Amino acid sequence: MIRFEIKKIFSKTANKIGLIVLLAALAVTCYFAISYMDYVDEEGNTHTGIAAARYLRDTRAEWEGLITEDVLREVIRQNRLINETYPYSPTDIKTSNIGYSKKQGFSDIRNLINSGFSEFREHNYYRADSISEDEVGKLYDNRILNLEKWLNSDEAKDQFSEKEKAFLISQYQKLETPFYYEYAGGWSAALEYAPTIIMLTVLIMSFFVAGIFSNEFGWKADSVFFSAKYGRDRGTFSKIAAGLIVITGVYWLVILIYSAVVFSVAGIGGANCVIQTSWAFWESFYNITYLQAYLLTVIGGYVGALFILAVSMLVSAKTHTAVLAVTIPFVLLFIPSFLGGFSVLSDVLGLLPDQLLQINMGIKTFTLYEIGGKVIGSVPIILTIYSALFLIILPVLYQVYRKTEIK
Amino acid sequence: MELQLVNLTKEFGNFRAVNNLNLTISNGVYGLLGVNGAGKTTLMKMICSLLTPTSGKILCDGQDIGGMGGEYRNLLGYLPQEFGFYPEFTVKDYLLYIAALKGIRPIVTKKKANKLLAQVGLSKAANKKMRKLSGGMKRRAGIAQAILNDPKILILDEPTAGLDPAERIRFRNLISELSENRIVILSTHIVSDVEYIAKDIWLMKDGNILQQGNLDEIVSSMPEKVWACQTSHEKAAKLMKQYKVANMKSENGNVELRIISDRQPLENASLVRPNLEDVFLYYFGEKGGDME
Repeated sequence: MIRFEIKKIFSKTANKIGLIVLLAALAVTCYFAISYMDYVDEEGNTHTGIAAARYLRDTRAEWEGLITEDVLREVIRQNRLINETYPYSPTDIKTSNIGYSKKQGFSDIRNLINSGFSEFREHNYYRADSISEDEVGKLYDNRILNLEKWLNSDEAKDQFSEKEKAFLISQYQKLETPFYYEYAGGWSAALEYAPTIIMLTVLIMSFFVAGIFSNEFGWKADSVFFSAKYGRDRGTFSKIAAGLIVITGVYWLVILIYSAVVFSVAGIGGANCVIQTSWAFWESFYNITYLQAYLLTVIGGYVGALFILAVSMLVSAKTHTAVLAVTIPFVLLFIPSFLGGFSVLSDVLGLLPDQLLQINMGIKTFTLYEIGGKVIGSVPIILTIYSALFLIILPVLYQVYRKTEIK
Repeated sequence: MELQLVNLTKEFGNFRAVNNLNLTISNGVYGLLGVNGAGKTTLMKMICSLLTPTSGKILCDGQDIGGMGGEYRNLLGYLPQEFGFYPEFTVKDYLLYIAALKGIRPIVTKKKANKLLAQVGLSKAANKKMRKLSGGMKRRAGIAQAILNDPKILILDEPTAGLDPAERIRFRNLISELSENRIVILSTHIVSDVEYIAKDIWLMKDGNILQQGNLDEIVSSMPEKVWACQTSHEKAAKLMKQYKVANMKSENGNVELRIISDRQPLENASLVRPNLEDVFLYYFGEKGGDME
């Protein structure tokens, strides 16, 4: 029965078109992810794509290892020498580019220094140029000090409870230093574009699943379906199973292809480095590696897809129309963007299901909740809430559909 | 096999579609006749467990069908009036899917599907997509799915609509064959289908069964007589306003009329034996032409 339900889904022309659109979206997203990395050669020319990834990997391999105080000093020393040889000039772009080319090997570490010595939540790209070899060793201490300073600032002092502040500081202190560095361009690129492909996949899949329940009515096949021996039990169950198989199959196939393309081009090095080795995640309080961050992002996307599309199926089963069901994911994903301007809603917005589709962004934010006296970040909460809600929706969906009356 | 309708009522808001029906149904063909809105489809949907009665119950061999679930539906075969299907499925796929829904084992299904396709004359169209079938072919596929599980209770709503005369006769014979050891409830536009094969006829109006019985009982239930006469076109026009006219046929410049009336409408009018169409016209009047 499940096989026939899946056949019903993909025999529809609209869904065949949906699959083609999804493949096209996947190709475009992969292209952007691959182009995310750029490399400047010794002549100052910029390369992107497969060649850039290979050059960057080779160049940065020299800096692989623990980012100790000695390494930081060496970065500052080499940075200064390059600046002296190739001074930055707004009129001489070529020379500036050649200078940048020379810094590429250690530019990730240089960026950490920029972040560590800038104000909290700021990133001054030229900050490393004014740091001395003597003071650069304070990098890791600065990360904690900057946080403490910011938590006591006017901007943040009322934003967090004392418990939350203590939690954040403790998370920062727990992060093991010195960091181990390895080039992780593949993970950065994959993380950067994962939400795009996850959202597109969910939106397109809503067309696949929205009709599973309502099409019986549209095709007027409902009377035969519900008067058959298993229509109200196994038949209904097979529809739910088909929905879950399609969601799971399509989602993971897309993620598999996306990951395979990005990692085969950009490499999988740096999987076990903490995400804070990238300046983009420097301030994150989630002490996790790139591999863990990517797994969280794609698993979060999967939980989000299951929840959002289960709601869509429920609406389809209840209203007997696919039109309303198809709009559900759009509403759930785009309404939070419109509400983002209301600061009073920030606590609620952090818990909406759209957050599951962009966990790579969630792990950068300081969205905290106090539950039973314990402070927890939003990511584990939304993963738990929506997994549970999804599991609750399934029996409701089953009951709603099996009790359908044909008027 | 016995079905009992006990004080069966269905209301939609303030509208009572089926009104306190009490019927006992045993093996054989039952013909359900009535105009649009009489409650026939609602009644059939309740028997098919697609609708829950507002009050009353349906008993199957003494058991309330509301509590029987799949066990009861296993006995059912249903061809709805608006027979829907999956447009991109082939006829064979469609039958295989319905067979799975009906709990027929896959090993039995293929043999059975092939046999049924031959029985309803669709063998050559087995691999055709459902959306590409003609109206009559779709109807035949619908009939095939209804009898796929060898149902003990077969509910057919307009089964012969869209079939050509030869197909109708073949289908009528098929129903007669099937009716030997099962209940068949048949609602149709075509009065002659009921006339030929129904052991019991129900005339339904406004949610009630007006008359019930075999053909002779139904025909003799009509208190008025049926007259045949020949007259001019002008006179015929007048008679049509005065009486219920069951049939009108032009012949040799005159008109041959079949009139339902208590008294003799014309001097030359002679009494004829009433048929089911006359009875239908008598009970349902002008709306008789809108039969479901």
